[in-house]
Amino acid sequence: MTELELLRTNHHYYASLYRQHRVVVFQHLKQFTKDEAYLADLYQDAIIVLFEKVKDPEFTLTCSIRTYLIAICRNQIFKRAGRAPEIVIIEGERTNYNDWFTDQLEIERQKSQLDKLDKVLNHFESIAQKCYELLYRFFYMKESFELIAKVMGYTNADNAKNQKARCQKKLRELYLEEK
Amino acid sequence: MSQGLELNQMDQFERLMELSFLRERRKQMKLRLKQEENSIQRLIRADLEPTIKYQRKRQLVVHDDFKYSEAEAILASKRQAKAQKIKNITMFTILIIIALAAIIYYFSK
Repeated sequence: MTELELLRTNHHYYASLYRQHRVVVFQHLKQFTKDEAYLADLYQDAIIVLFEKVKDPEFTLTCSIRTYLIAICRNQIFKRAGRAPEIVIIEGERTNYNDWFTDQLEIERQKSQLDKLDKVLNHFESIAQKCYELLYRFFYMKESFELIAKVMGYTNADNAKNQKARCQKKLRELYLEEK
Repeated sequence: MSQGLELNQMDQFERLMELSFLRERRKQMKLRLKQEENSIQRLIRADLEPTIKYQRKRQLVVHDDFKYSEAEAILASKRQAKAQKIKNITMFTILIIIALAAIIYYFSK
């Protein structure tokens, strides 16, 4: 099994991956800065970018994972300095990681609404456990409706989808009521 | 018109939910990776300072990423339990048949 496949199938593998490539990635990045805490922060973000990218079944790498991680970190250094392109450029590889930054920017922009939603979700978890589990499985664990239906006892995927819509509506009502 | 507005608001809320769970996921992953970094730093420091005589025992905390077990794992364990149940029933039936055959054989003599 390749590292990419391991990352796809094992949800805990990213932590092992972190240890595996840390030394070499840090060695490469030390030409930019010697601050290890800063490098660790960059490298952690790069691992998260890779982990999220890997969830897309069409994502493939022609270079090694290590090269890819170094490229992301290098781009992030430039990005943080205010002059980075949003494309990871590696020989023979052009991966757009724009969406990761777009999501991150949107998260920062919508911070107050997200904090409010988190509060409502916490309450929702205690009053409607099954609904919360369904939403959690769909949004957080990225499980398909088919799997959710099987594991949560719904008759089929469509039924689970309808139930998700109902739960989401209920949650939205709570969210709108919340001051 | 109002239906279109309602749909738009629903879409916006769906996006907000996506972002909420995404933020939580990134936060959890970052936390886990920071733990990894800290444990690496501890190892490096331990190599540099071998003179520590007494150290509090640390318990390894296995940080679970998900609040619920993964669906595939649950389904696999259910499948395994079902297979085990079928195996048990088959064994029990075979044992009863053997016992009955022995009884019939005993009384036929």
